[in-house]
Amino acid sequence: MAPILNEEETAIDPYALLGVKVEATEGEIKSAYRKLSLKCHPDRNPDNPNAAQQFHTLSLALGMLTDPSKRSYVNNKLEEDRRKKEKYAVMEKKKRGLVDAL
Amino acid sequence: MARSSWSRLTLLAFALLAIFCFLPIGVNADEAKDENNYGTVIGIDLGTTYSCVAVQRGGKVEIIANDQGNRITPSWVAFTKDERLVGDAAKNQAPQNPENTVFDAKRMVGRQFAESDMQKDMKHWPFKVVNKGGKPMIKVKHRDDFKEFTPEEISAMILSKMKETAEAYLGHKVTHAVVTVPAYFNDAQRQATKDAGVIAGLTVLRIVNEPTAAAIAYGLDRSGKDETKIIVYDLGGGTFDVSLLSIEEGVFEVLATAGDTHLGGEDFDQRVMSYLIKQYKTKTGTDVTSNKKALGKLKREVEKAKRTLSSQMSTRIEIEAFENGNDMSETLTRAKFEELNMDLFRKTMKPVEQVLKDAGVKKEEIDDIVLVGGSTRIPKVQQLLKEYFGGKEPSKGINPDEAVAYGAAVQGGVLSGEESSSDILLIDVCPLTLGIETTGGVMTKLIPRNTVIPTKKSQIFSTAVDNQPTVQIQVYEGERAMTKDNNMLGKFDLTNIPPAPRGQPQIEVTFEIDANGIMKVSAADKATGKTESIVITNEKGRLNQDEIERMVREAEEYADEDAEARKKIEALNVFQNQIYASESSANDQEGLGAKLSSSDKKTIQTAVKEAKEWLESNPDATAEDLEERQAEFSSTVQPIISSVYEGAAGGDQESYGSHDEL
Repeated sequence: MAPILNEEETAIDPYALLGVKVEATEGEIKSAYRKLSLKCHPDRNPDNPNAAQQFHTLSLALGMLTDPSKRSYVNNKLEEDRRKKEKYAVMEKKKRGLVDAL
Repeated sequence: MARSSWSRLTLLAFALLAIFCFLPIGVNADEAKDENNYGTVIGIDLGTTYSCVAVQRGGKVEIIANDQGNRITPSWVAFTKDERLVGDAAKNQAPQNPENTVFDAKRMVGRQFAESDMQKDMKHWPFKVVNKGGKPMIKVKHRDDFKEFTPEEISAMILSKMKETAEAYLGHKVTHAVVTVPAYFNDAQRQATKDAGVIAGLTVLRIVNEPTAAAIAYGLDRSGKDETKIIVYDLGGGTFDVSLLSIEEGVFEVLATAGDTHLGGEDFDQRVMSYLIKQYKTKTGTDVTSNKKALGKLKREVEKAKRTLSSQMSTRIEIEAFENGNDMSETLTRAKFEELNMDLFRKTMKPVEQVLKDAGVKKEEIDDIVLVGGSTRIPKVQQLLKEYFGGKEPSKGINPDEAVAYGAAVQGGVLSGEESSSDILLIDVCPLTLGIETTGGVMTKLIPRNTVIPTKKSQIFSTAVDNQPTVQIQVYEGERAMTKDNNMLGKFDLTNIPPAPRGQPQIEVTFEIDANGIMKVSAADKATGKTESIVITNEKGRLNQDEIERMVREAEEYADEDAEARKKIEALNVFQNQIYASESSANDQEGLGAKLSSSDKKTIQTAVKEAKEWLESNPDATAEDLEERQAEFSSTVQPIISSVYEGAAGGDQESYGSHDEL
């Protein structure tokens, strides 16, 4: 079975790219996408050779957040990252506490 | 399996999904150089039956009227003994010259001769279509010679006409255009449309889907509002398109598109014609199906009757001298017209359902239904739509004939950097699924239909047999599971794959579509780094570079001939004006005439009579002949008239009757 996200998608954080919150509604996400498109679509940036790539990445991000299974996967992954970070922070604090105690 | 399978398509889809690969997006030096030299970019709606041209200037879009004062121009081209006619002139003379009057070129563009739609259409065309290497060519008699034209060339003649219309209005040359096509046009048809532009001396900067262009016309004054979802229902003369778009703050996004490249007003006319022909046969016993002149007259009247029936319940079709001196007189009611075409009208609802399904939008969520194309004036069509959308009245805010050209001009403004267009963006999708053939003739999809473009997608494939040295990449578009049912766009080989067991080599295939919808396909062997690629531009059914160059040359020759014909008409006008002015002076009882001696009057009258006779007996006179004969006439008449002026006003030497026309 194919993974939910392809490698290209795995490499991006759609929330950061579109500048929306994790709890954003689909309407808000699409709205953000359109506003950013006005800035980076190659038609509006004929002099920028990277515009097509930027716009393509933006479209990928939109696709990830409008497909429910992809979005929940992204959310889980982000949540996992956050938990890992928290756990690490707690451990770090404990470690520091131990060092301080010594 | 046969040995020949080496070269046949032998790719195996790898279980893994695509490995992402950053290829530089190609903006080549040439493109960059031309970037700021587009000049005014015009928008052309190249329709099956009518075309329309518009331009955006200083924030305003103007629809440009042609030399006849009409805002839409028939997409017709006629060839006669002396000249080539395009537009109104061609359509007006059609019944007298049915075999050499060409229309419906758009129905042939990018198609194969053997296609069933082509074969069906050919039965209705009074002009001849021949098979040239699988492609349809139109054969006509021009200046006593038989000539063959590709559909692209005919389309180019229409594009030229639209270009000239714009140039006459703007007062300067035009080199770049945005041309619209039905959303459901496949790649071959789009490319052929671009070729037609090249032949006409126009760089087609962008091919825009007709419904999208119409949506721009609709939504231009709605920017800044909340998201609006609209359905554009475009039923024109020959094609039918439905698109679902979202408009928000100047961004037009196509969510889904569907349609039928072969459904429109002409089909409705055809149904009515068949009916009337049958009626006429029952009444008189005469079958007119092979009488092209009669059919030409009937076609013209049926089109008129159809329009009338959009506002009236019944109309009469009267044709004097329909065939063999007999008249035709028939009544056609709206109910009969609807009955004849009901299945076709109903057929248009399928694509409406399709776009809603594809976009995942419920019909209750649609804010507006925008009607485009002349056939949407048919009350039954509006009624069916209204019923489907639960009583919602379709929007009538835009002109269905002009909206597409209007939107094309706006997009032209965006692409040429016209200032006022700074807040508009069109996000388009690819209309058909794109993929390659894998073992067993299976269509493996890389880019599903309705994917936003520009886009890029890669996928890894492998070999099908041990030590396979070559893989062939065959690119297809279409929705069917087997490639044989889809449309092939091109193919190429990736060779010199090092010997390896089947399934081991990793061949990465990348599809890349730019904002113009032009596709580049590349294949790379990950082990050796060897890459092959193809830009999908020239494949079967399309013209190669040599052919295009030849056609460009010929189009220029035609332009010269047309200029010659114009010169002739101008010379003829000047001459006729002079004759008329001289005649009325000589017959004038008061003013100038009163001052002429009777012998001078006689001289002028004789000269006038001779000149008239000469014109009548020399219809083929060239511009030079006319000018020569006019000078001769002048030398007889001029001295007499000047002398009168001299006597009267003391030497007003202004030559009489030879002014440039005002």
